[in-house]
Amino acid sequence: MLRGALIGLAVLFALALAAPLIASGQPLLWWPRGGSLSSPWLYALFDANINESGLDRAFNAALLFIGPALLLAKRMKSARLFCAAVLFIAMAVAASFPLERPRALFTEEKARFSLRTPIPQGPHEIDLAAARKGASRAHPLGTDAAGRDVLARLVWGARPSLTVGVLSVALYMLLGTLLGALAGWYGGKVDVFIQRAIEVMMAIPSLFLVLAVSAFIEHRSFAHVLLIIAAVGWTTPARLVRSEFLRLKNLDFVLAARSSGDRESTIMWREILPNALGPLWVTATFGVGSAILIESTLSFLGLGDPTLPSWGQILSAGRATREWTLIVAPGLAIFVTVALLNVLGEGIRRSFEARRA
Amino acid sequence: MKIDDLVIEIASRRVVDGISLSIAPSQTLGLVGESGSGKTMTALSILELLPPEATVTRGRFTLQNKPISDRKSLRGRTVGMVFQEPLTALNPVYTVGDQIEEALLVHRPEAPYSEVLDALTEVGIPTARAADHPHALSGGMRQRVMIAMALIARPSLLIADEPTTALDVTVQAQVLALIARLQADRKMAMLLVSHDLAVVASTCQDVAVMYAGRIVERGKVGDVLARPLHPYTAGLIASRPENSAPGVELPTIPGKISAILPSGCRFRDRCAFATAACAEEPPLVTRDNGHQAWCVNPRG
Repeated sequence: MLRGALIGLAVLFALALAAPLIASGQPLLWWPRGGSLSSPWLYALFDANINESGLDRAFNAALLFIGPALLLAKRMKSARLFCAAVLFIAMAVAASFPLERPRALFTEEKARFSLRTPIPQGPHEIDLAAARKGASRAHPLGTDAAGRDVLARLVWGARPSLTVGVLSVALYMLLGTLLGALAGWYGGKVDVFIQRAIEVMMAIPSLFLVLAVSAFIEHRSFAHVLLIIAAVGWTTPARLVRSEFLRLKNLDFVLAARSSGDRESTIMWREILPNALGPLWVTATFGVGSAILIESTLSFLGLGDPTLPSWGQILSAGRATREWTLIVAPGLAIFVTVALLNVLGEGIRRSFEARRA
Repeated sequence: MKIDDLVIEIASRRVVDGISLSIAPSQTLGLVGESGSGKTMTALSILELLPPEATVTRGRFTLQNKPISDRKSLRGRTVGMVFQEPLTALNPVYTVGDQIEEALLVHRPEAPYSEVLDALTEVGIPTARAADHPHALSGGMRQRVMIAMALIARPSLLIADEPTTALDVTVQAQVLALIARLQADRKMAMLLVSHDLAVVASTCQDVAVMYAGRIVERGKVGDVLARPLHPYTAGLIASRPENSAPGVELPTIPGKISAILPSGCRFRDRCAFATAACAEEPPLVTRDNGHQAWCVNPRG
């Protein structure tokens, strides 16, 4: 089960990464009459007009560089950190500096030879002539009200959905762990203050809080959605880490570390914290699933980032067409992802229990 | 190492009430008493390791006739400490080698890793086990690792708080022999906290018996165990299973340390020899060999 869930999730992440290889409006290779062989696809990866969102350009940079980076990291173990840094910088550069130079437009008629991706349409490309169509050979999952290919959008939609899940959870795990550690370690007034803050957050149903906050933001971007989810999620890891600190700080190994001359900060971060992280993995895994659901809910209700085709957006757009494939397909994508994450979380929880027993 | 007139309070209750101890270089002092007598509190106070609710309200600590201004600075470097539970006294997420190294690098950041391996060899653990996590080691091996960790910075005093209580009897003997050998090699002083008189008899030169936060009797181990002056010490010795005859009920000391201590001698409510005079502060009785007890009716 655990292994299956891991493989399934790996496939999902690979799909998200490889989205431009599956669906793109630009040919991978193009040889126009009276011109030379080129790859409009490669240029399009970082083109501001085709890939409007920095998130997509960052993913595209990762797609180009992850292969060589993994290879190098595998060959030279010492270069791991370097590879990760290069990959990260490439993603940041791609996200911040898009290509904006105007260029010759690709047309099928002028081509002597062209190599297309399996779905020859990008997620944002509008084809009004083919709008609101059910499944066909050209569009296996049909098209939405604007004539955009649903399968292309589904594959590209894995990017914002998975990113919201992983990044918002990473953010609130960091915040929650920090606050929980401070509360558990110092106790007293610090603990009282953080505990009350947690209780105030938990007293408000998180979905309503998320909806209310989103409604107040005028130009919602992807980052807003991510931050809102992080802002309501930190209470669970904070409580977990706090209780682990309360348990661990009275154990003899803390006393032993102190008796050998360790500083208090060393004891807090190096001795206790690594022991407190175990149960967090379970919370994090379940957290990614529920963050994806919250993002889908927001998008479905029209409170997400309208420029990115997340699964919730596709579901919302599909509902407007009343074509059943357009509702089932994104719904199934959300369901499968969340189910895989829950199976993984359950597996991790069990393996921790087995270790304790 | 000398401690004078130490008072430790928890919520303004004196759990250690004006005790004095002294440990000579390369000597071992056994600190004996039942649970709640304040022996562990005394040991922890030397390195300022008391839990936050306990405070030292009085007391002087001196090392080689110099008063100690900052007891925290002794940690590891001058005084090493071994704890009762080897199961919880090692951090489960790090290998034992890393943990010993950590204790070494705090004091000497330049020290090579080979010193960690030497320390393991010294306590009789194959160096290959340095890469093991604590859960992969037996209780006895973990306690050996603890000892290596406590001694890695070459302290001149070792505080061992019930170092063998959690171990099997056979392993107990090995660990005690190891501690005794290392102590002799390094000419190190030791404070051994224990409730086991057999352990104290086999490893210590001096012994102090604590009851309810006070020392009731102290002297050379041979004198105290052979001819106890205080009825409490006598009771402890009499209640050892090794001293009993088969078929006879094991003698015990009735009751337990009471929450509200009586005035005068604190043992008087459990003492078979108590008289009206015991309600006053008990007098100090001294024998020629330095054997001391605080009692109105000393035995022997």
